[in-house]
Amino acid sequence: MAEKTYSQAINEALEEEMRRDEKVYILGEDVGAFGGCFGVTTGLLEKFGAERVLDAPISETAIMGSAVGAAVAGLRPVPEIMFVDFVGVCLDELLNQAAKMHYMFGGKAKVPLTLRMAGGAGVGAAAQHSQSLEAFMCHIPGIKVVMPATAADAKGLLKSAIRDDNPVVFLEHKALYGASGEVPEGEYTIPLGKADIKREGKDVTILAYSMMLHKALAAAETLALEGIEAEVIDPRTLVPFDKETLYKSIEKTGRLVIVHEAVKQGGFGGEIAAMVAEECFDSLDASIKRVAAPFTPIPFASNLEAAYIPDEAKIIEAVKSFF
Amino acid sequence: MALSKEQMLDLYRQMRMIREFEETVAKFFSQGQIPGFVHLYIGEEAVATGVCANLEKQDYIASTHRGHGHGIARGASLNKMMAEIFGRADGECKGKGGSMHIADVELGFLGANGIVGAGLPLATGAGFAAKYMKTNGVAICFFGDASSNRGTFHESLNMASIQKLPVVFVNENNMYGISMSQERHQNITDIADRAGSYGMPGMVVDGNDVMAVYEAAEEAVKRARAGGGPVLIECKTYRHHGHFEGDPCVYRCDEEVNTWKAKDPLPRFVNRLQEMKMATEAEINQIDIEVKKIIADAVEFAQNSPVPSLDELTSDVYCD
Amino acid sequence: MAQIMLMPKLGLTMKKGKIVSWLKNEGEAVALGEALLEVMTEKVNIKVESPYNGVLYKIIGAPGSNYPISVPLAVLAEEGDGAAALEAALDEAKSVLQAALAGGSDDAEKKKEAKPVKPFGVFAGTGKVSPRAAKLADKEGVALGLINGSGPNGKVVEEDVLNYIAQVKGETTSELRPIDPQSMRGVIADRMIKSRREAAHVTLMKEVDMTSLKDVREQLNALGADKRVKFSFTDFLVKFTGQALAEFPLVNSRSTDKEIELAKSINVGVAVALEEGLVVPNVKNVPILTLEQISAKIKDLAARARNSELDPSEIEQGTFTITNLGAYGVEGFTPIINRPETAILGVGTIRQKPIMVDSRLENRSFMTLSLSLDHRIIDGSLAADFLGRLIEMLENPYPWFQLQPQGNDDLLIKTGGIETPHDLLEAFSGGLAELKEDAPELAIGFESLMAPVFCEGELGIMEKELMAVAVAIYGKCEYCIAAHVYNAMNAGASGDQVMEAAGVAVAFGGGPAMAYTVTKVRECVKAFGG
Ligand SMILES: Cc1ncc(C[n+]2csc(CCOP(=O)(O)OP(=O)(O)O)c2C)c(N)n1
Ligand SMILES: [Mg+2]
Repeated sequence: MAEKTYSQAINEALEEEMRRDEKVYILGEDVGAFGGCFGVTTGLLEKFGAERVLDAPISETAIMGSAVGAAVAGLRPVPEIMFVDFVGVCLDELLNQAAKMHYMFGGKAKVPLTLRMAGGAGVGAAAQHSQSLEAFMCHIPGIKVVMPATAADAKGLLKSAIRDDNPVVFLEHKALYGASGEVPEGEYTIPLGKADIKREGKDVTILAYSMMLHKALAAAETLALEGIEAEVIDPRTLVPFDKETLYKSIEKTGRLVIVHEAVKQGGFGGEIAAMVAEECFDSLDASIKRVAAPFTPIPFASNLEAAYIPDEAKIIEAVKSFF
Repeated sequence: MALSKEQMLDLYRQMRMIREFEETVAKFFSQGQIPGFVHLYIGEEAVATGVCANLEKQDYIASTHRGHGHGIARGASLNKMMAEIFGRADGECKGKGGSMHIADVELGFLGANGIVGAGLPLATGAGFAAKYMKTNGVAICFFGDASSNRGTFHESLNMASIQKLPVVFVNENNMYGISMSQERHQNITDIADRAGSYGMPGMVVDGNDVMAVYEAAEEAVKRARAGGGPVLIECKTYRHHGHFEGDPCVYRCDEEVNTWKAKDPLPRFVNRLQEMKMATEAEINQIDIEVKKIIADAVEFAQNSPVPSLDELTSDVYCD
Repeated sequence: MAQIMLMPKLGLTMKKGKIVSWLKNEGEAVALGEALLEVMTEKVNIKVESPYNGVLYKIIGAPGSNYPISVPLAVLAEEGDGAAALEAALDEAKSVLQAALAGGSDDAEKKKEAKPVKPFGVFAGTGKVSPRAAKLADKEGVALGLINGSGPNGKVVEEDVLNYIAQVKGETTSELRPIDPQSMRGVIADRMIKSRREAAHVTLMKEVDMTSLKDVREQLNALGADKRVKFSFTDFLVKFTGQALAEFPLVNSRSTDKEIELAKSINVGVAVALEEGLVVPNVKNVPILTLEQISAKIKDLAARARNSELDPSEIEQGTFTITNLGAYGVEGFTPIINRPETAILGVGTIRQKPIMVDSRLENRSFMTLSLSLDHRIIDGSLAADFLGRLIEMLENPYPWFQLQPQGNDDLLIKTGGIETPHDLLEAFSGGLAELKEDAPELAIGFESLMAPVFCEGELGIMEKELMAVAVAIYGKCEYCIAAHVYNAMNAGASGDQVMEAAGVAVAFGGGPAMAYTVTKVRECVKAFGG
């Protein structure tokens, strides 16, 4: 294993899949010589040429729409929308085209594309460049939604996403790009829809993904000093969602805290809570807690932004309310 | 209409103000005192200055991610703008918006915008409102060369044209959209050519010549105000800094940058003023000193302003 | 002016940067905008321009090292900088850099906090049950109404049901720990057994202030009145002893020659004196019981003990005993341990005593606790800690029941000697009230003289009262001093203002006024100030 950044891991996944399959190509703004706004596609233009690493004009509608068309026609596009906040510009292409074709056409069309987008707050980028919009995506039948938290997961999941025959939305966190972690050597993939128990514990289950996984793990360490052993689960993929791993953990611990950076109202945590209440009620020894952002756009001022983003202290507070 | 000496000096003062403001922001950003990211207007000052000098109270402007210059030229408070960029309670938006969302709607400044190409339909709508309410107002839309590749550009120009709206579309062609040079992001040289497709006049001006910009905008604004419909003005210009502060600018060469720095709109206008005997060196220096002081005061104002109270986090989500 | 060059922020997500190399040497001139060093970010290498004109004086950021943004990397000299100013800037830059690099390590030490209080349950059953607990109770056939919830807001959780089942079955669990003859404990045990055939008894005695517990008992008895629950001090002693035992497992032990049995459950025996002798039935699993449950259990056990109806299981498995001789007026004594337990608590009678509290005399209630321990197992210091902890809880029982102190003013003892400011005030106003009854015309006359004087006029009330203070001192009247200091401070005068008014009196009255100022006036300011 070697230490690699999240950004490097994604870059490697792209490179490996492009080598493996000629049908894979990248399309996005400044992804070529510039290497992408966050440097994720650095070096790929030199390796694969301008036919496969395409710098697009600021035309998100055409980027996403043409990727859908190319996918139906047999390619495996990996379009990039620089910030997930811009997805509104190409929402029709995602919502009405990519997501529904397979179904509307009676299973006769495939749309094997992977839409990469960066989300998340914490760098002072304010209201239109910091959002976490996964709940939006999870509400659209027909697309898969992946949200990796670590470098190793990002690589393995992206490779699976590219190989998947369905449209996959791959949501990266911009503040994680520089974070490094152990990445296995050589070829490996991680199946979509398989959660990972990032820390074992018996007293409470904390479900957290993307950036929040790291805050949850830090909170778990602090809680352990006080004798509370938290089990931390990273679903990694939101659609499809690995209920089994979560339910098993709740059977053990009886308590659940869901953490996400997106606003609480209408957030995916609500879906998970409802799922657990419907299907796993008798295992609960306490009401379900959600730790998420308040129902407000993301503020610019650093102190407000820090208050906005769920943190270790808020997770600890939620866990302690059980005991 | 020939400009008076006073008006000419005002144009200079405005450009100098933007330059000084932006250089100051650059300094504090690099020291880590400004969060987030900033896109600076250095090199493009003549465009906002020349256009906004034609505006009246009831007019609107829509801006971009590179919006400080537009706000200053429209007359927004320098103190409040600086405080906003520092994320302080006394900022234009109480510190909640930041560099990319500075706005002052009372002044008709519809805000900087984080979404490229979002301003085009907004200005179209403001123009519609002016026409509908018969305010005799016009709406100006500043937008970048690369944003002319968004659907909103085409849809807005078409709609403004068929509805004969009082909108002036001011393209700031600085030859790049982040790393993409204009020749790579579109197959035309003059964005003004696109005006024809929508049945409106299009013109190209030297965006580093504040007088040229002023004159072109004067005509377009007059026409729009008189009910003659929209106009597209393309201003050829260049940004001296990177796309955002910290951009290594690997996509352009020093030679190109230096050629354009030689066409810097500020010294150019100073020369012109002196040639026309409109201003002496002493007068120019005097303005520079005044501007420096005003911007230093703005920094002091910003730094003395408190950070927003935590109650602000969830206020203003809805109107009461 | 000497300038400090900082690690620049180069882009949105940059948190730190690595210095690739310096492009200028120390001592070399550099112009504003000229490339000064090369920095590597997550993404790319960037040449950083000098933000100043000057000379690169000293480099403190080393090539190859990572630095967070905004930390000093170098000092630049500008024209006219003196050596001293440069060295000062350098020192500052170095210390800021060091502080930034060292930052984050100081949060490591976590302060030791006072043990949190988790309030005891008093009455059983709030009616809230977790789904998981409900399922288990259903399976085990346990009626949920009997169970006391330990979850948030008194909710019954799985653990409560499990504990209840264990309690009903009288189950106790324990951990066996062999006594290693080589260990300290083994050696001590050996020595002790040699010195005395049975347990090596030592008795510690300590007085407890029971005033607060009395208050709590009264409040809870008032709350429980409609349920006809009346708590005795023994109920509280059993509950708090249970809590203390949970914190000191070794005191909650049983022993043989060979083993110490650390009991997992806490079963507190309460000695009941019968004609034939003493029996000690015990209350099992005290920590999970509400006070109400404990109270009922003790009454039930005592009643059945007297009727010889106790089940053997109710006498077995005890882990600690409480014996109360208070009813006999006994203060302290040396109880004998109820073997194989290792400690016993003797409870004495409650007596009222006058005692000084914060310079006032109070009437408080005291009781002596006598803890006998088996010195083979329990060291004196541990026993003293245990006893200390128990007393700490008994003396501040409020948080354990989420109550607030009440009626503390009744504790004050009125003394005939030196009068406190409050006494003076009360004596004066009380006297005036009585006068109104006895000689109304005199009282009314006095008040109609005072009222128009001490009202808001060209002078404010506070000014007038301050003048009155000075006059009162000059007139050497303690009662007037108390009344006017009180009024002045009520009208907003600060202690300092009162003392200044007193100063005026001293200027005129000399020594005697001084004597009043340093005694009565100061006492009054203290008494009425807060
Ligand atoms: C819809 C959308 N797509 C992409 C971006 C990212 N982005 C920000 S500025 C920019 C380039 C804009 O170029 P141009 O319109 O020429 O304006 P300039 O920066 O040159 O002033 C891009 C791609 C964005 N903010 N919004
Ligand atoms: Mg541009």
